[in-house]
Amino acid sequence: MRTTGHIFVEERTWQYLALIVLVAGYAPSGGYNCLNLCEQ
Amino acid sequence: MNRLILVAALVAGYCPILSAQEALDSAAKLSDLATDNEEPFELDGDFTAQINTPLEGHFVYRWKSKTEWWRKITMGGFEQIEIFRGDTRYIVRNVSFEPERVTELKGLLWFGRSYDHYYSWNQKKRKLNGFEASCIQTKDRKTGGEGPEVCTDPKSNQILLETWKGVPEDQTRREFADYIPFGSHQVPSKIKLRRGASVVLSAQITNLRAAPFDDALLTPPPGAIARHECQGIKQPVMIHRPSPGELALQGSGGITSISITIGVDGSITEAHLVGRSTKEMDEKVLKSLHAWKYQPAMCGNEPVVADLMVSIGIYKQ
Repeated sequence: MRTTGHIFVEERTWQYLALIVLVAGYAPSGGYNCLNLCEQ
Repeated sequence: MNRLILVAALVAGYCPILSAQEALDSAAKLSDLATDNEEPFELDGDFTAQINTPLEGHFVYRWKSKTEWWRKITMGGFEQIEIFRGDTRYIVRNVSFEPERVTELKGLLWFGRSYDHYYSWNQKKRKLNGFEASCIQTKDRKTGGEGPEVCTDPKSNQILLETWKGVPEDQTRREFADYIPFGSHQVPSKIKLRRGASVVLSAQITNLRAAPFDDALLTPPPGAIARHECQGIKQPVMIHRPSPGELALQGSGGITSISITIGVDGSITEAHLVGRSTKEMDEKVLKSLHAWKYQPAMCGNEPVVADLMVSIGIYKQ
């Protein structure tokens, strides 16, 4: 299955910005394939 | 022997990492008006925020010291006043939450800018606007993930660009230009925020000058929200995230943003949808909130209430 796309969470305050990649490799069919960035 | 160690360190590339951290700190200090030895100042400006249509706004800062200041932001019909006194920030606003663009504006105009949350990871030269900039890639101390890449002009030490490169479709870029001198500092008078390909915020400083501070501004009005914010406050840490299964979508993805308040026990005590995506995605994100759990913000050993703007992005390609 070809997996593309990603899911991320970005947290912001006025003093801070954090980008957390939850899942890299998102299958359009709804399945997931956690690549090396998963749960980074 | 010392020379041998120095040569070995140079070969191993340790020195550039050290100097990158110093360059970051030095660039941040250049525009840091929030130093205690500076005299009180006033700062005003205008901005345009892109939401569905462009919205005009205005910001006013009255600054006495790091622990005593006053800030007012208006945008369309929105108005918010913040008073910082001692270690508490008091907030009064005419709606129940802070709009996403206002949180972003405050991040852009944060003149006490510091990169303490990040450490330098890599440094390289890059062409930017026709000349060679020094760009430092950072990592986030809290999450271990990618921090911003910070590009500076190596001659003037001015910060030109901060880029969070993690998500190509939603790359966040803060651009700083037209620096103006103020005391021993230099402050960017034109600032832009790009998300993906769009400019979502554009701000310009119209007035910056030393001015006496009116202590009457430090009296919080009745009913103001109070947030304990000590120096060196530790931001909340997400310890239970929404699982990918909870966020699986049938339709297209996008970005949903929510403004949340995290209580002293780490649970979410308040949530407002502030940036909409598709109806399906907004509903999934709101439904998943009950399972989110944070380590609360900390002032020393004391947990404190904190507000956080959280965006969930799902991109299918």
